[in-house]
Amino acid sequence: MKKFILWFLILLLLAAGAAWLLYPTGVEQWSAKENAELMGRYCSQVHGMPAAEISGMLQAAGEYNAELETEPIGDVFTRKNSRANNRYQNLLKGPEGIIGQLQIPRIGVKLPVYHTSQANSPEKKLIHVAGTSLPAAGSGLHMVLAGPGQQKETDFRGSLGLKGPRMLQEMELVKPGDQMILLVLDRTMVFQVEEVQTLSADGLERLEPPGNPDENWLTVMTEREGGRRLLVQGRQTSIPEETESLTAADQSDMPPDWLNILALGSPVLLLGLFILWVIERFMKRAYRLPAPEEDPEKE
Amino acid sequence: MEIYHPKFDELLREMRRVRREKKRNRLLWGLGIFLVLSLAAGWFVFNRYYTLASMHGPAMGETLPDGALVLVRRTPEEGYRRGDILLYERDEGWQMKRMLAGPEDRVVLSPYSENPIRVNGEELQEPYTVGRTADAGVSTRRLTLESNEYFVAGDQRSLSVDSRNRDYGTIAKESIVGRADFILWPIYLIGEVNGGEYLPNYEGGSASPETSEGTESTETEAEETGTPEETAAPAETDAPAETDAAAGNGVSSETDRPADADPAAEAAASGEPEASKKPEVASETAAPGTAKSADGASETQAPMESPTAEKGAGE
Repeated sequence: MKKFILWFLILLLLAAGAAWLLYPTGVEQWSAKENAELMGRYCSQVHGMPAAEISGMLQAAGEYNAELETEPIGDVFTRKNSRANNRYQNLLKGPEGIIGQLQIPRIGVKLPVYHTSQANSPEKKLIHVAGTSLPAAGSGLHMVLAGPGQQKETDFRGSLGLKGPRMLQEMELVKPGDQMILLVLDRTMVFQVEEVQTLSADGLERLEPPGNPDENWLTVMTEREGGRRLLVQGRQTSIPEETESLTAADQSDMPPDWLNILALGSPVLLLGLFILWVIERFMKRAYRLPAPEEDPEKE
Repeated sequence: MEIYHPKFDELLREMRRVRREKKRNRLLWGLGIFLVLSLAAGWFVFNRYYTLASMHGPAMGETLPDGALVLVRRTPEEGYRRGDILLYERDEGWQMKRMLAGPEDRVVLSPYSENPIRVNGEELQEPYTVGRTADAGVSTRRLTLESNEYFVAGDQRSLSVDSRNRDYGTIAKESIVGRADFILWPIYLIGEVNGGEYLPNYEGGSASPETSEGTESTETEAEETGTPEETAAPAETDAPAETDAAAGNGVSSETDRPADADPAAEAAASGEPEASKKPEVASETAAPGTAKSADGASETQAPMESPTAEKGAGE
């Protein structure tokens, strides 16, 4: 009995350790799965939308953009956004209630973009900052997105040091020349990163919108320690201009031959290990050594 | 009477030692044999049937995200079908894209219509695609594939550089490594590769059953593109300069639509700045001779292009 309890405790400790180590991977896979399913439903529903409806939504977004006044970005993480009114909430409200998806291939980020609202704050999700341009055709647009570095777990998992799914915590790896891709309805906008900078909240208040009136810009903002904000700013380019970089990125790999052979033969090895285990179990039972007999006359 | 066996314990210890040694030898031999067997089996499977491949880049959208690991079936006996994702060699590397048309199929590209790609007169229903062909900067054209050519496209239609691009062209059968059968990573996608079930099956190695309509399908395409009916055969004489069959990249017949559905080409031909095709937000401008979809609706939906690129091209 003691032996059983001891083995049980050891296995329990090992399982807990493995769970703690595998938790980040598991959470990331789960989050990627949910995002992929969300985008799958989004794209599927967009396929079914009439072209006129899509054009109408983009036209309404363009009219909203035309009425915007040029203002400094400001710190959306600390300041309540009063420009998220009903009209804004219903603009570019695509299937599943999202505006679209942001992709940053450099750091493997694919996140849905939500409207600014009470339920969608930049501390929890990647949001479009109300009061900045919505993704639509036109020039002189400045779209601003804001999201958390990494979602913080607020329950007991946070106290154990476990973190939530990956969001924008690797934005420092983005360099000028990298691409940011914004998918909105059935449209695709590609931005080339021009500037990466870290600012304080005061600096954000003084920061002027980038670029000139003939260009479209995308700014992605995220939190950093000490109340600072990391800004990645990109200028829109046309997709045909990016053909060379898209072709370079679009590659497949085949592992080295020896790795292929090992991987493809591993089921045989696993089967062999199982067979060996069965044989040893059989041998142990069939050829158990007898315990020494007690002499009755000794008693 | 007491029987004394002074060496009984020693005998037991010796028996246990022999037994442990035999067990160790058994395990070592067993592991060695199964290791050799697994390497032999892996070598056999790798050379005859399967290989592993990983996907990089955004071209295949959510079907095969960046970093996906797939099991590729080498040259299946049943051939390739429309919708299969093919792994092929290109430019000293490999790429994976979905096959939309096979040998002797006729493909019509109309980027600005509701159904940008038609194969043998059939519209392709592809709910797994992301983005628009109109954003990819491809031009309207028709082509008929040779007996060893395949037309491929990535599921991320706006960002994939593939057979829709004239410079990329079709892929030769000899360059195909195999067909992606099973996704091994990421975890949430483990399973068979999907999407092919949406496309009409193509009998590998023979003409598609849809071509039996012949003239009828050609007439449908002519209505769609708004041009006089031209069969595929005469079209081969139209663009001899563009035939490049020797490179395996050949398009045997190709007809360029004279800017009927390509606003960029139309603007360049007319000398108008490309900004005139925008804004799509304000109105849908139907260019003259715009390609019509099967239901007669005419659409010209310009991509949300960078404004400076458009102005620079128009100057």
